[in-house]
Amino acid sequence: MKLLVSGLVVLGFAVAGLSPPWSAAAGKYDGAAPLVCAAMTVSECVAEGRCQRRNAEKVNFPALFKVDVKAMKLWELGADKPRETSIRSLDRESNKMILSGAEGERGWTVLINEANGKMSATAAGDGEGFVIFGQCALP
Amino acid sequence: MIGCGRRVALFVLAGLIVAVPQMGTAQPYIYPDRGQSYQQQESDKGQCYGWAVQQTGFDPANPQVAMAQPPPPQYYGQPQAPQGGMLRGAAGGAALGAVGGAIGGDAGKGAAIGAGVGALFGGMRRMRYEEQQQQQMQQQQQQQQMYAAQQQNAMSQGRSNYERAFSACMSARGYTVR
Repeated sequence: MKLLVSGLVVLGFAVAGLSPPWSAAAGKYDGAAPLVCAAMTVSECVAEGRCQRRNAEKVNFPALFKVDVKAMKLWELGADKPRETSIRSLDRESNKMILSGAEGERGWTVLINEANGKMSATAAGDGEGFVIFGQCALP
Repeated sequence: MIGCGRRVALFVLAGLIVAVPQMGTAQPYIYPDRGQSYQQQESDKGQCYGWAVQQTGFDPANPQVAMAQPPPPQYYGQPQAPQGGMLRGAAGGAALGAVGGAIGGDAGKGAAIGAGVGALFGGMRRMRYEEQQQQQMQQQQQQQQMYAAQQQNAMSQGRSNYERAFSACMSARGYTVR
């Protein structure tokens, strides 16, 4: 399982780094097809001001996930029982697509640059927060 | 040949068994000031040994010290829930810990996060869980080291008391003990 995830992460990096990360022809993402996003770095912060860099696996976040704005869902990729979450709101502003939702005691946002696919996400709860940076691409 | 080797090994082992209990216990030199015979010396030594053991509670032939047992190891699987404020307390209850444990994250927030094991962002867990585990292990090790040091200290104290008592007894019976 770990091997599969690692493989997917490598694939994700390849998608993000080697091939054009974003459809040049499209220029701007229209939401018609789901995106594949790779979580590359995760920072874990606490209210006292301390932040520490983690990797996705360590904080139990999928290294790869799919963003389907049509279905208004985010899915984990490469898992036997993929975790998912519902997108509660979707906004577009200055070539950025901003998705948000809530789970348990946490609220989350995912911001995707529609021009280049760069992804920044946050998940925040009481006195804690995670910031995730990565890259999205059209598969 | 093998039998011979075995005998040698047994001999060495037996030697060690005999030697080990006496290591670190320097025998005092005893001189009979009143010209006591060897038998008398042995008899006096035996009686002073018994008296010193009785007085000090320390027996050099069976060195033990009465100490409280070290605290039992704690279960590392589930760190203590953080002491929450009013809100957490009010929303809390018995279910909190159980689901939190299942998620493996912050035990105190278990039920709230517990929407789910399948949750993408809600299931993210902080490294504090692992930090707590490491802290617990370090504390445990420190306690064990402290216990070992205390035990050693008590042992050495007991031995010293015994030696003073034995020496006092022998001196009273007409011996010089150094």
